[in-house]
Parts: sequence; structure tokens; C-alpha cells
Amino acid sequence: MKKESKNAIIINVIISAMCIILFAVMFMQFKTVEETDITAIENMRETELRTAISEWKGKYEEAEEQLQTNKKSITEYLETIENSGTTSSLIDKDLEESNMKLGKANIYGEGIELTLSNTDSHVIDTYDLIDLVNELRYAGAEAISINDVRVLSYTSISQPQDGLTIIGEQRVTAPFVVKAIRKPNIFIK
Amino acid sequence: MILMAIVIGCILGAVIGIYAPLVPYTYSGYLAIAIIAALDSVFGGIAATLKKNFDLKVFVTGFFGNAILSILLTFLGEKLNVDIYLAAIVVFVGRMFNNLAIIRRYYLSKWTSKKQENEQVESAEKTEETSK
Repeated sequence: MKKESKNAIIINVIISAMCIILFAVMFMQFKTVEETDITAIENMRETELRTAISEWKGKYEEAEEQLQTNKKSITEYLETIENSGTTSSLIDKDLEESNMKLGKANIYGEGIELTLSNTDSHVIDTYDLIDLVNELRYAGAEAISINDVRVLSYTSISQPQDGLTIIGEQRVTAPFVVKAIRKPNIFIK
Repeated sequence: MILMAIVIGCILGAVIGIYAPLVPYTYSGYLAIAIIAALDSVFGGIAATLKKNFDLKVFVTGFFGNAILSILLTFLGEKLNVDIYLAAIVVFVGRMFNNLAIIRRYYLSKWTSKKQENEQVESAEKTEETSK
């Protein structure tokens, strides 16, 4: 009887020890899988690494292509320097274009001038101005200004309250004088 | 008594596992295959108990032996660049399904026989009543 009870205790201890081991390992694994960042390179599987490498290879090739294009243009510039004095005009043209796009230079030329005034039936709001600016830009406007405030690609047009419109950081009020320049002038068409 | 030991073991194991440090992700594959092997042994043990041929020695050696063997096979497969762990998973999971089928059939037949017995008892009672 004593031996039997001893055996039963041993069996219970062994089985509970096995349960402890099994569940401890299982929960450790659950925790590891849950907390490991599988997107990290160190934890990627072979196939995932292959895909990542091929992606990076594509990006590298693109960058390499861009580098070659840049090198080519540098060589062209150098050649122009050696051959003639037209480089400065070439660079000046690039600079002028960049300044124009960034709004750092004043632009003169042919274009259109629109005056938008409020009427009894319609009050000009920011949406009208935004639509107009977008339309002018699609039509090829190189420079746009509203009440002599330059409107660039990053200029915001907002209306925090009725009757007050802010373009960039300046307040403007109706009537809105919209000027747009395009070379050659094709707005008339 | 044995059920109590199992429940206590499971709870203690879960607590230890939750508070244990993280296993490096490189080794978690080995751990996963060892868990599958151990679970296979557990289901095998339950099926053997139902068949009344459970042997603790076989169970314990199978539990640890299968786990260690599967880890070693996975390690060897990695060295040979062959996914041996897939074979181990197929075998263990296949056996788990077999054992689960045995357990299911055992309880199903037990439930069916109990139902039949109840029906027989009811019909016997009815015939007794009609004879009276």
C-alpha cells in the first residue's frame, strides 16, 4: 500500500514537472514570437532576405543610373567650359529657372490679370482662389500672384474667418487681383 | 490527484514561461519543433491511457527523446542545407492527428454505448409497466 502511494506521488511529480517544462517552453516561445521584430534583418528568413536583397539591388541600380546621369551632365558642363564660354549662360539659365520655381526672383512678362470682386450673390472665398490658382497652374502659369503676394507650390491659402483670407503669411481682402505670367503667353487661347 | 498535478504543472509552467527571458530568435525555430515533438508525446500518452497501455517510462523517454531528436535533426538539416524540420513536423503532426482521432473515437463510442444503455433501460421499464 505504502509502495503504491509512493509510486503515485512519483508519477504525479514527474507529470507535473513535464507539464511545467512544456508550458514554460511554450510560453517562452509565444513571448519570443510576439516580441521579436521579424522585419529586422537579423531575424529575417532566407527567402525574405532574398526578396529584400533583390529590392535593394533594384534601388542600387536606380541610384547607379542616376549617378551616371549626373556624372554625364558634369562631364558636359566641364566640356562646355573647355570648349566655350557658354557654361555660365547654361548655369545662369538653370539658376534662373530654379529661382523662378522657388519664387526668389521677380518675373516680368506677358500674362493675364483678373480682378475678382464680391457681389451680392457671391462672396469670393478661399476655395474659389485655390481653384483659380490650380487652373492657372494647369494652364502653364510660371508665376502667379494674388494682390501682389506670390503664390508658389508650397504657399497656403486659408480662410480662418469670413472676410479674411491669408495667403502664405499675408492677409488679403477682396477685390482679389490675380496676376499670372506665362512665356509665351497662351492664356488668350 | 493526477488531474490536479497536471493543472498545477500547467499554471506554474505558464507563469515561469511568461517571466522567463526572451529566447534569441535564431533558436526559436528549434524550440518550436521541440514543442511540437513534446505535444505529440502528450497526445500519445493520452491515447495510451485510454487504451490502457500507458507506460510512464515510455512517455517520459518519448517526451524528452523526441524533443531532443527533433532539435538535433533541425540542426543537422541546417548544416546540410536541407529542411529536415519539415519532415519532423509532418511526422509529429500526422501522429498528433492519429492520436486525436483515437481519443475522439474512444469518447464517441463511450457516449454512444451510454446512450444505448439508457434507451435499453427505458424500453425495459416501459415493457414492465405495460405487463403490470
